[in-house]
Amino acid sequence: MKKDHYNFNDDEYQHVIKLLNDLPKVNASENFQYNLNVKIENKQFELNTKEYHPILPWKIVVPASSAVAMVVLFFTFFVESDNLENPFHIQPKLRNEITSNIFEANKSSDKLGNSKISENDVILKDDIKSNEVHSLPNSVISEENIIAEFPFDASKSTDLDNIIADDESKTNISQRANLVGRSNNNSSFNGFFIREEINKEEFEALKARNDSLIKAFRERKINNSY
Amino acid sequence: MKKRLNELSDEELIKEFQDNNTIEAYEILVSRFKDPLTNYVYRFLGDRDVCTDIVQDTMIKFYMHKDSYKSFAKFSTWIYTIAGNLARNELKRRKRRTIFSLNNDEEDKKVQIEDKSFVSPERSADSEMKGEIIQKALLKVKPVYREVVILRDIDGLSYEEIAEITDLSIGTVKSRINRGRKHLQSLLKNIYSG
Repeated sequence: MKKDHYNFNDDEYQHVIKLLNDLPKVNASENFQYNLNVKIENKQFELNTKEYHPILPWKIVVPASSAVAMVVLFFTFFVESDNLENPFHIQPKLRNEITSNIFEANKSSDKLGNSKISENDVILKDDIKSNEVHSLPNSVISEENIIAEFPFDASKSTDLDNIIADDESKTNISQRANLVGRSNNNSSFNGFFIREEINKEEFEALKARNDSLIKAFRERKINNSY
Repeated sequence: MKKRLNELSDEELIKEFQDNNTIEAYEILVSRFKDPLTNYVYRFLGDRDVCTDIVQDTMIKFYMHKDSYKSFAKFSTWIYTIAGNLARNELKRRKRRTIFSLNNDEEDKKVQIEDKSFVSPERSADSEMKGEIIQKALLKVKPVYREVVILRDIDGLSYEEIAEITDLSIGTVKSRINRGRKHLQSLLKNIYSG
């Protein structure tokens, strides 16, 4: 015997069934057939009730949502997250880092410039000097030197003192052209800068003072840690 | 001739209408089904004017698409399906109109929300009032349950016919009827206790 899974028990609802059965029948209006015949004879086949058209039919909703889902999946799985940098997750750089980066870039461009114009006399000598200063173990002093060096770019700079003092015949013509910006290469003019000669005695005194300060600071730090 | 046509079954009449375009056959079918369809649509929507329009549209659709009826199906289920689809569409349109309507008709809401406890047992004894209460209770039942309960308990169709009209399995029809009745029973508690 087939089992009844739905538990249909009409007796349970016999009151409701009886109430519904006893409801008075609603009949069509008397002129229903007449109105219908008139419509058919006049061929008025336009429906009184309008067809229901949903605002967003499935024909549009389904492809649109699948397209959106595909785009989301593509960006989730196929685009490497390393290539996309979330600006809200980037740690802001410290000011010291930014300035040191600028110094480094300047330094490297200087070196590049040196290699290009290795024949140039005065600038090359000065640059070697400045490089020596950079190699000093005291970091503070070396940074100051970098600052002193900034914004000199050996490839774009010329020592005017030397050019004026020097014999005009000795001066390289191409260098002069480069100086006044008449050459074809698009080197920008950085302006005039005055170089200060480093007083060696003063420099040594400053270095010694700075070293002693650092030493004192380190000792103090060690004492505090104990 | 009309007398002879009157003796024919629904299926024979529609065949006559399809084959020979006999308008009398069509008219007989309309006269046979206009009242049951009006009753069905009215109980489903609860609006007399709209119900008349829907039944008229059903008959026009029947007239225009007579050839879409296939002889293996019962004519009654076919015409009920047309009327049911139109009624359901109307309900959807109304729902949308209610959602987007800026003018919230509070009075209409009150009628719909009318609680069963509001009607005293004495008043519910009155048959006319009883009919109104039952109709309001019917409208509170979900349309998917309401439809099958009307077809079964008011129009007296078989489960198989209802399954064909609603395009559902017999099991689903039975379970929906059960749920609809259960809801109605809770709504009409005061009427049969009184």
